[in-house]
Amino acid sequence: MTMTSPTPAAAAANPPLPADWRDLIALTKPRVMSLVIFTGLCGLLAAPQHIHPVLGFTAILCIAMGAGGAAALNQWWEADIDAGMKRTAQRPLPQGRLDRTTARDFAGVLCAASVFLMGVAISWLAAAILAISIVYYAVVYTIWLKPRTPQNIVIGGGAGAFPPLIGWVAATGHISAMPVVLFAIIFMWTPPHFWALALYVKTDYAKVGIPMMPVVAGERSTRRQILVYAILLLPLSALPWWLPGDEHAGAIYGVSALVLSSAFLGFAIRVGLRERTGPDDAMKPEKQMFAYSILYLFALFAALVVDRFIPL
Amino acid sequence: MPKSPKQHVPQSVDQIRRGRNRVLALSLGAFVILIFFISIAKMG
Repeated sequence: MTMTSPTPAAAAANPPLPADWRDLIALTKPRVMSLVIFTGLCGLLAAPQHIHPVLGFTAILCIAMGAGGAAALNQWWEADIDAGMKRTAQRPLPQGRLDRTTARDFAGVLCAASVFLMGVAISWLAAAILAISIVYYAVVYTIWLKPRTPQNIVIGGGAGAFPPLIGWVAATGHISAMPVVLFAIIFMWTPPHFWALALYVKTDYAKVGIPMMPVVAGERSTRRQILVYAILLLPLSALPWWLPGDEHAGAIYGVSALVLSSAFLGFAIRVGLRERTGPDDAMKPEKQMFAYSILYLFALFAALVVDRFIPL
Repeated sequence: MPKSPKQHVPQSVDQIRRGRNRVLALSLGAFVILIFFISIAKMG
């Protein structure tokens, strides 16, 4: 199946319809946002201080709006790149269902509103971290790193690691060791998660000139690096169990982290030690690892919250 | 080309505008209610 984008001539002949609200929602990458909201909520719930439910809801809403705005800015900036990739060619901007100015304005309003509401209703420290995460994703990752270096996702992965930190700070009003460790876990999880995907959409990235690791360093090197990150993630994921002080997680989290991370390492070993058998290789281990990596993060953070409410 | 499940059926300009206005009105209404409850929570 070939994807087609409207040509400039066609676009001039058929001016775009006004943006449909569903296209505006699609601009916020709802599936990615679900993971952002969940990890933010877990950071908020795992914090030792309780927050008023309305303020907790507001904090999560602000995280969602900020993540949605940053995602919309990403799609606005990368509309031409998205048009050239099979995985993203159906998005509203490459399809011409939305004009770029509307997308930019929508993104700007979401980002500004999320930071302002977080500052006024929750805390200005949480708002500042939210603003940093938006700038980190939309500017540092999307505009600066992604088109320049194969380490883009390593450094840029920090953008997705902010939500539990923001959730924690929204509840407690300060930064401590636990949310920093949660940040580090997502930071360490992002490269193997994303490179598993990049391995089977490598040709797409090569076609649009994005220097993803498999394109620049080759598949073998990427597979080895996936393995290294998965090995490092195993002890790091258990670190909240071993933290000193009263913030540390309990046995439910600790055992869950070790089991989940061992399985993650198992998938990484399968991917890390194999090679593509040929152009018709279905890349099943890579696809399975990518799917498991999403489940992994959901389960790990769910275990943190369960552990908080059922301490052993 | 088969339609992706993500794509919705094309509508007229009026339908799109009506849908957008409805969503905007609902969002603004929800925002006002949220601000009210935030005020109550902050006072408590």
